[in-house]
Amino acid sequence: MSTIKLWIDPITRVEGHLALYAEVDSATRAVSNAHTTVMMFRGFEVFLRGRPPEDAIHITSRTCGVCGAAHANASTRACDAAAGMTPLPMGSVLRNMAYAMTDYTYDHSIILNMLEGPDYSEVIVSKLTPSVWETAKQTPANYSSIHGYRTIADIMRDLNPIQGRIWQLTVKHQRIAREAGVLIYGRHSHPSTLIPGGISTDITSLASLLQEYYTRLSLLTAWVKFVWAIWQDLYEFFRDHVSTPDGQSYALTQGKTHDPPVMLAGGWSDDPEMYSNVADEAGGDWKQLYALLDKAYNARWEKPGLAIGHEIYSKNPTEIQLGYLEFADSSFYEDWVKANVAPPYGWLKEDPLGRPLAYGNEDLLKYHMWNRTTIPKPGAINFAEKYTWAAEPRLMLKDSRIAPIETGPISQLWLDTLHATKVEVDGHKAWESNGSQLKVHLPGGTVNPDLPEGTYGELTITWNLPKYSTTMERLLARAVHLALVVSLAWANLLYGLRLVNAGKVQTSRPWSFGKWPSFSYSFGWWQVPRGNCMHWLVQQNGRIANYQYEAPTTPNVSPRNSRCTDPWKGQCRGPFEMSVINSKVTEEVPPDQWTGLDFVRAIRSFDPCLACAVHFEAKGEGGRVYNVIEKVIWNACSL
Amino acid sequence: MERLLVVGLGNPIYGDDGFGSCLAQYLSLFNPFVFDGNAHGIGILGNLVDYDVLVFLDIDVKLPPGAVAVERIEGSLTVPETRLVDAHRMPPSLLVGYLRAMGKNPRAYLIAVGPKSLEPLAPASREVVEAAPLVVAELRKKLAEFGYELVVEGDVKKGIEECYRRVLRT
Repeated sequence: MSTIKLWIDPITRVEGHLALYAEVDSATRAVSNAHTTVMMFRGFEVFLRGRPPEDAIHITSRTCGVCGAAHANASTRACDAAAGMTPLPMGSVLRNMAYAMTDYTYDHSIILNMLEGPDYSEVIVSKLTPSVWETAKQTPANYSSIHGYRTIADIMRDLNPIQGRIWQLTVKHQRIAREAGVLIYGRHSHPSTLIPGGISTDITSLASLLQEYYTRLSLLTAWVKFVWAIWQDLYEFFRDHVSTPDGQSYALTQGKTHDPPVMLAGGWSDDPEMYSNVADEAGGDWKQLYALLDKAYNARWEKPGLAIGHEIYSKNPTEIQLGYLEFADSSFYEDWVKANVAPPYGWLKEDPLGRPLAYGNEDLLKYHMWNRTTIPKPGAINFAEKYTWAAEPRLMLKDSRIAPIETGPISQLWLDTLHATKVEVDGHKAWESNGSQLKVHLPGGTVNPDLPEGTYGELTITWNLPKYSTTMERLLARAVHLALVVSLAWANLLYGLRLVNAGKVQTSRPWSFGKWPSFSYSFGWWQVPRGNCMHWLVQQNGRIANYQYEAPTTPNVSPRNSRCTDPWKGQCRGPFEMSVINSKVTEEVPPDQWTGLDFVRAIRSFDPCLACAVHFEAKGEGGRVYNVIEKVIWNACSL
Repeated sequence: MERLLVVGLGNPIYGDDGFGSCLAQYLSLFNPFVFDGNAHGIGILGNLVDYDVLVFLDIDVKLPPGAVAVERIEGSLTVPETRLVDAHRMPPSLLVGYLRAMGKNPRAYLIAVGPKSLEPLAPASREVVEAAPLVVAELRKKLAEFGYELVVEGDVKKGIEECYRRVLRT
């Protein structure tokens, strides 16, 4: 037996710059140690201080060139709450319709088929795991009637990057999704129309806007049926026909995260009526509105909450966030508590409703997000001490236990399922759940000339709540979630048409520059393609006093520390590292040629987003593509 | 008639680099077949897949400042050769290379101007602005080969300067 040390740096096909170090036993193919490291500092929180809160919507959007709308939306919800006002129903409908397209339909599609898909394509599978490729050639696809592929190998062949048909169809359909979103947002990926208490989309030609959206949504509904069927087939293939070296089902064990899982979701798609009504009920008072936030979040058309295993710990974001802490034990930041750096307004000890942060623990409440101060402290990577720019979010529970956090499409479906509820709008049943199973309903009559006719009819997708989060479970969850968000886009469109018919097309509450309470603080959670996007805002007299935010990847990429309590004491690290530790090498090449395929599959299944401040390697100016000069003309004026 | 698209590339925040983008913005006011690709890199691949002929407007650093060239984009890439790369820095040759690796085979041309300065936050150089009418004249000839008529109203040089003023807020 010998230990193989794998450094994968950078991990490609993820957003931003991430590296992985893993030690693998060459005999058992098991991982004995793993660390992920993020090599970039952003510092948005530092320069947000002192700016108007509404600017945060547009500044935080620039965190990322892919998921800018994710941050813009979380920031908008934080601003709504701190300002004490929410949109009128048509405003929420437009916010939801846009978001369903960009980011969800655009982002989930490229994540599945262009970023993660190549790991399951013919070029990779046949090269690194030839026996799996042989099995794929012999295995008939179960969902041929929808996607049209005869065998699993046929799917894998079309997942080949650049040349594969699925890759190319994704290029086309992600564009259609962005077009639909841009009708409302004005631009992608940084929406220009999101404002506190509303949306500034020009609705002079609202009927035409809804028509343009409808035609695109119809094409994309066929598309998501196609994508789901592909990934359902791949999932079943890896569940039933592919094993890990110790004989376990690949799909059910490889890349497993915590046991028990800790699943956090924010929900999204505000209920247009409820989200408007809470502002009326609060009468413009931000504290009153804060008191109604849980009601508003729970009315969302996807549901918020924290689950431990298959039990819901809490459905209420205001309660969960009391214990949302972030540490800097293993990350390149100064511990602001040990350095005794309080925020400008002093240590906040209670939420706006008077409930103690960190459940009254005087030491730990200073690590709450409202009390955090970002102080960068660069250093060399030392796995025994500090080794990454990613901080360490942990959740403190009511009984003082401290847990790591996982979030993503799988956590959202997890919570939707455990809520045991349904969402139905004007006769369109979008989805329903019963505590262990979730069904997504997609309408028929969705003709798309690029796709097989099997995608034109009605479709109901069933998702069973898994026991654990594994690599393939996360991928399947993303495909199911893609279908679910499109179903919610239909629900919002129908709701919007109802409002148009009733003449209720006003979108926003009146607001003018500087209209903020003298002091208020809030948070905004919004489930996005990569998980729960969370922003915490403290404002004084219309200026940001403190702004802290967590991209969904932040808890997922967290390094290890020793803050967790049982049952997570030995698992006190983020899901990325856990998923690598619980992966076994399945590559059928000699150990000195291992590429870490199973590890990058595990990590890519989360779709990491580390933000694009770091550039990829540039390889030439076009290889064998060259320009032939036909003629050069000197411009006399310039001589 | 073949499907044709004129694509302007470049980032006006980097001096003359933005020439193609600004010219495309101006020409798109009068011509539905002109598209401003700006600095969106591979993000615009989806906009290019349905065309038989692509005519790019961009700078070519190999040319002397203000010189105008008409170039053909030849060759193709294999899939491994398309390995990324900086998603924002995408010359016409790489975009065409991607398209050909995807099995598309557009004829592709570049009407280029030689830049003088790529300094951040600098306006377009006089050489490049003065070259604009010549670029338009060459574009008009190239389009005529495919039966397309280029419509241009007003002063194209002023249009480009206005584009830089808008972007740089000067």
